[in-house]
Amino acid sequence: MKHSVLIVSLFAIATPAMGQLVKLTTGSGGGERQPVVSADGRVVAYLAMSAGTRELFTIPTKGGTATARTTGKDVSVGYGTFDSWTSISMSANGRYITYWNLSGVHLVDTVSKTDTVVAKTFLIPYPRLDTAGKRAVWQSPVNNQQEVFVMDLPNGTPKQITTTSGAGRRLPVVDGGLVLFQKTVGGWHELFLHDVQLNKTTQLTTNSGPGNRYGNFAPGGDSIVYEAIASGCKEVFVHSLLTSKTTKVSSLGKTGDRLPVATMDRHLFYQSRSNTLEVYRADDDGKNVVTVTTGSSGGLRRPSTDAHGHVVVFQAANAGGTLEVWCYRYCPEVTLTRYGTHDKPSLGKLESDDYWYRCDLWPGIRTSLFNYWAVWALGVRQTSVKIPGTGSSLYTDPLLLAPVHVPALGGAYARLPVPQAMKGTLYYQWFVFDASANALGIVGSEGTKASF
Amino acid sequence: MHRTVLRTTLRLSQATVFLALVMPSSIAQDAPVPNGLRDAIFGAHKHPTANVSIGGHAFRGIVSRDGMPVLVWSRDAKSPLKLPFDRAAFARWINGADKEFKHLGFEASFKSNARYLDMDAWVFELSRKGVPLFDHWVKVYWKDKIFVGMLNHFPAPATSVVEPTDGDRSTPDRVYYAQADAKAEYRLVIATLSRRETATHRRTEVVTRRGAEVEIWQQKDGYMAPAGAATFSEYTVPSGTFPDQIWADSTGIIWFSQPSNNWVTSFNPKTSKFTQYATTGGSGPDGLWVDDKDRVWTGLYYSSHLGVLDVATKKFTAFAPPYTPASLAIPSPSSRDTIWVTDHKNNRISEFDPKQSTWLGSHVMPTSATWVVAGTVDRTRERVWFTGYSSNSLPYKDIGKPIGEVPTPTRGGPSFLVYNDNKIWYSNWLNNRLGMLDVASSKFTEYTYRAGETGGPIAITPTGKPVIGGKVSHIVVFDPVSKTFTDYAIPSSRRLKDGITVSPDGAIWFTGTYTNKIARLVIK
Repeated sequence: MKHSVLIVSLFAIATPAMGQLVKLTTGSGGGERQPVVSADGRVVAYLAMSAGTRELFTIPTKGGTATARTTGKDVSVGYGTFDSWTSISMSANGRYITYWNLSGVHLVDTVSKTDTVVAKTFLIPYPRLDTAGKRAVWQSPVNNQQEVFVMDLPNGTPKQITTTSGAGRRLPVVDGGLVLFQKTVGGWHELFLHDVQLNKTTQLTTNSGPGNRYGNFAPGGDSIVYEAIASGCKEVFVHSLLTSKTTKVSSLGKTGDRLPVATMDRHLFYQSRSNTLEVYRADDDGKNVVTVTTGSSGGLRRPSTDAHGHVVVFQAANAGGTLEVWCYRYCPEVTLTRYGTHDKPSLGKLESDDYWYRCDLWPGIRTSLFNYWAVWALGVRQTSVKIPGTGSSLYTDPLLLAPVHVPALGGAYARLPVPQAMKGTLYYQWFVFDASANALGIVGSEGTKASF
Repeated sequence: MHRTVLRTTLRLSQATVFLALVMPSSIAQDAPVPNGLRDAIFGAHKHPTANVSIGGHAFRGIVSRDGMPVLVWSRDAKSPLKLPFDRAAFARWINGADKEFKHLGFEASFKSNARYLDMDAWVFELSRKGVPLFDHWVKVYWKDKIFVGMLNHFPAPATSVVEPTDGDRSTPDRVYYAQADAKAEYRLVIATLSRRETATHRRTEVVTRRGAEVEIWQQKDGYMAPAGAATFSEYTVPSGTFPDQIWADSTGIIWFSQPSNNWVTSFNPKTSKFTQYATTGGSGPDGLWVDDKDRVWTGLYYSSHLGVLDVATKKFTAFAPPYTPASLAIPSPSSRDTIWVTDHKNNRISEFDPKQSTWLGSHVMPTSATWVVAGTVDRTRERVWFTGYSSNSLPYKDIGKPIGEVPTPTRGGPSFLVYNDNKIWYSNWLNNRLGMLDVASSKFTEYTYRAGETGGPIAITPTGKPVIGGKVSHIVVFDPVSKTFTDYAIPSSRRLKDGITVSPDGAIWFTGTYTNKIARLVIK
């Protein structure tokens, strides 16, 4: 729906400018950090040593003070050639985090500051949360085979959804009602999708070759990204859950794990070897490959990204030799705050409908009108001036007015590229031309404050 | 020390008799294992040695638990034995000493000549009443026609021999097979070699009355990787000698032990800088493994402790063993954040809890003189697996249960192992075959690689390919998909011993122990 409407581009910048690299942590001690960033791109969870034990921390992606989320828990991690899977996971808003230790699988609520054991399994369970933090999956041995369990949080009953899965790891991930996991078929780990409600499992991949698939959902759940063998090396693949089409994204021909992650905006991040492992970004068709890091050192990079690829978080060694958490930011963190009220159109109501695609902010307005014009007003000051003959107010002093024609039913959207260097505050609102609505025939929206 | 005591004691005739009876090993000049034979068996220089008399000659040697000579050399290092440099005559000499060799009537006949390091190695096969003994031999080493030593690879202890029938004798594919029982003792039974060919492989199955014992695969194509398929980078160790076991920490720093210098040493691939860290004096850091918190664990073979270097603080700590005498060797992980460490010499494995800095237990291997080498973990079953070199077995330990043991179907001297997806991959010190135990089915398979190489340390790539460090001059990579090996000729850092690993980025690192180098191999 969104893409069917007329759009207007306000800036000539088609791609984001160079990003900014920030080291988020220091003195984290031995072992890996295994950082994961929340889907909203605001917070990173990671592991670091504290008083001789490994503990869970969070830190804002824009830097600041780290917060210890565990004390004396000695968090466990997967370790070794076939345990490159990240050991912690986080809900989209960063509130909930899972980890495991010898006591079992833990759920941390960073708001209520609770840490609850939700399952007493500890043999590399690799727990994963869904985006809402309301469901978890993990693997646990049953008859000497790792099987997949799913549990509604916080108090549901764990349900085993696989049986006799064979050798190796399942490495499950969950997105709402869908669970993605790997299972042995003909000696290789292949990816399967399980619908929790229908209790139906579908095989997604074939002949993937040896090693783990490390499969992940793209945020939004339309596709999965994974690694499989091609010409003897691990390459990145994308499988669309909408079309069932599989695309080989990379042709690296390099040794090592890729550990790919996807955004909901058709961007992928993965690691590949140059001299050491580096982070790369590519479109999900394999085009427009960009080198994110150069000259980094340390073992695995383990890239993690938010829903739109605004930041990619990874681990790399610092000058002191320990692995630390780094954040490469393509566009600044933006906070949108609404103010004022929507005026009433002749039919239905107005709804603000802003969204992101990569580093482009798309301010939008949704109506129930058909074939109409709208104007997007952008300014640098917040105002509140009543507009005579309407129920609307002017919520900014417009420096820019951009007209948008909506030829059918749907919303109006503008495009605002947001380069990394962008700072300050903008204010905007929409005006919809609706002759029947009031004496002036104009319906104004609420205002939005965008803080960069 | 020994000689001083001897001179004093020999003044008394009665004492001399006593000494000869209870301390025969002290009378000879204690000739150590010749350098050239140091790796003829695993850890040859660490095994207890004894005087051995065979066919009228006096040897020093390593014997099996039932007293069979395994590896022997001249008792007097300064006076080489005058054994016949004639193949037929040597075979007659072996056969004339059947009882001392404990060959149970198996007769040696010359089979082939090979080169081993700078020596000639005569290989004698063994057969009884016309039926050959599968996979066993006697190897005699010569340097410039001077006898260096002899490796007697014969099943030990062998408890019985099944007599062959006329049919067995007249059927070419009938062999004697060393069938292990629960006590790790061997019955020599008749087996059939069932051969089959595919387009790419020859497959031999050893079948006895109890069924198929092992399947052995050999590819028809060559082994050598195409030019340019891989890149070696070699680095000379600037200080000290004998780089031994090797591992990569989570930051990509490479760590290896230098037992001769009592160091653990790091290498930064980015800066090519080596840094040595002292351990406790006289310690002999042997095996080395870096845990998930970047702590470098090492068995201090000579000072008997378990050592750990905290990479972040560079603090080295040594923990006393839970028993004496001890020679802690190779550490490995468990599924519960504890450390297992082997003790080849004292036939034990022990478990250490780093959190409490305490030993949780020490366990004597069920088979005497197992020579338990190294360990690996199956995190699904909570089971730790080990290699039993001399027992030719894969011992294992489950939580709260006694040590179990699975005999390997051939007696290749299992030395190092890795676990992945229900499979134990292990190297055989004495032959050119990669062993694999499917834990779920209990079935063994062996895969033959380039003749002339023997394993050697083992690691595994993220794509599930076992990598063997050849003790001669190749890194051997096995592809389980095609069941084929590709090998990579090492430029100069040859003669691997115990050290190979795969770093987090997929690169293969190994130690050229005798060339005093470490090296990286990047395939593609």
